[in-house]
Amino acid sequence: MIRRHQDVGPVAKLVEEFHKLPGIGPKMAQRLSYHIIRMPNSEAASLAEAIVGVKDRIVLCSVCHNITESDPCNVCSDSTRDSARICVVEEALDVVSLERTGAYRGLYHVLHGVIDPMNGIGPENLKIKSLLDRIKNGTVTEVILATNPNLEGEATSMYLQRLISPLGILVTRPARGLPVGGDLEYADEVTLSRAIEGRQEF
Amino acid sequence: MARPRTYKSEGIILKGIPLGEADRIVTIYTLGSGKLRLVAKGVRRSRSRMSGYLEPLTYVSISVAEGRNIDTITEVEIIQSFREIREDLLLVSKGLYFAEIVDKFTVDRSPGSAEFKLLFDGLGRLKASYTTDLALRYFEMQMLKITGFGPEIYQCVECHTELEVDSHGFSNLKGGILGSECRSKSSEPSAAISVGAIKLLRYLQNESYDRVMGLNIPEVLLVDVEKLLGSYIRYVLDKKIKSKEFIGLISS
Ligand SMILES: [Zn+2]
Ligand SMILES: [Zn+2]
Repeated sequence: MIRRHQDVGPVAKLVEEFHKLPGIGPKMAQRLSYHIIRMPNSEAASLAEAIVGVKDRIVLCSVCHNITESDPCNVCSDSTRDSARICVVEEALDVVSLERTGAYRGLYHVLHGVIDPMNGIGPENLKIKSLLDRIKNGTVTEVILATNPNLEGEATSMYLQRLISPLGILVTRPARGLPVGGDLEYADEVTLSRAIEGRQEF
Repeated sequence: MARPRTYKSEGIILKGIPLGEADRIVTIYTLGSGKLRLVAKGVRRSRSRMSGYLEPLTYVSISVAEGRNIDTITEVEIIQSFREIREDLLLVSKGLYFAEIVDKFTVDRSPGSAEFKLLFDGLGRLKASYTTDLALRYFEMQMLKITGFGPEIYQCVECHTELEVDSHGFSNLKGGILGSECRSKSSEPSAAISVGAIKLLRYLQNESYDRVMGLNIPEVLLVDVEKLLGSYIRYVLDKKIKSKEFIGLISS
């Protein structure tokens, strides 16, 4: 663990910031920090600029809530995409995984989380209302619920299905084959494209 | 480096939160050591042998390696998956409610076999077609009783005289029923409680699950007792129970 001092020096501060990142333990945080200390000033400045720049330029798409530089995002503004289909995912990273397969040509909707009452997250904390608005106003005929294949993801999909099915829209789930408990973002491309292509009515 | 000490245990997974890139911190209520928080490495990757075995509401046996800050799960085997619960939204929400109650009423590493049994039986009784709200009330009252928060429902919490068959008040602060006379003299807030509600509380506290489930309770009375126990539990825990809100949302 990193001890917190009253007055944190610049090195300790940098180590602490790295340690907050996912997958970075205390040792790795230290190694990265000393790497940066040895960097030429210009390289360090360009790294800092890249971090600030990404926060300045990245917004959430006002239609699908995907992470994007332009609003609406590339997918939403691409007229060759099939606007009759919406694939619902938990996180923006899942869009990246699905896009990599090339097996899906419809639109997306990013929930930004999953129903997880045990950790204090209910449906009201997710982008569900805007999904329903999109379905009600648009030309949508199919909604694919591609939440993670774990208890929270399944519960979220069951909840959405209850809301969407009465609207007379086809609700589908990716085919079985995605390993239970694993995150969508870690599924390999072949498995993922098979799951999307072989999707079944919920 | 010395090999870490290892131990085996079995318990029911209450919840998990993602940690770092692919790990998960799992809260499990074990038979021998009570509630434990353990790290499961790499479980969010598809190829992990353990992924899928550490889902909430699963009864598992585990091997654990002791660590400096937190112990690590090295092996998992499923004892009972309670699969039928996770295939039904209402049952999942009720199962999660049981898990959240156990989580909020217990502290880490404090053994409690009664808590374990209550949770295990509670999950086992969640059956597809129908689990009435009465089962939830039974679970709440039993958990209050096990953890020493069982309300006083035979004597007045103020003057300790035996309660007459009459409507009285219920005081969260004093943890039980305030007789109608003491209630009229008291300036503290208390909720009105009917004769029927008092009777039902006594059943929930002292009778077997099967006897309780055999009762035919009018809907209004059930709603009264739900509000009463809900308010008392919120007072005792000083926390909202999120899964209860979720049950409300999907049963309406
Ligand atoms: Zn978009
Ligand atoms: Zn009294």
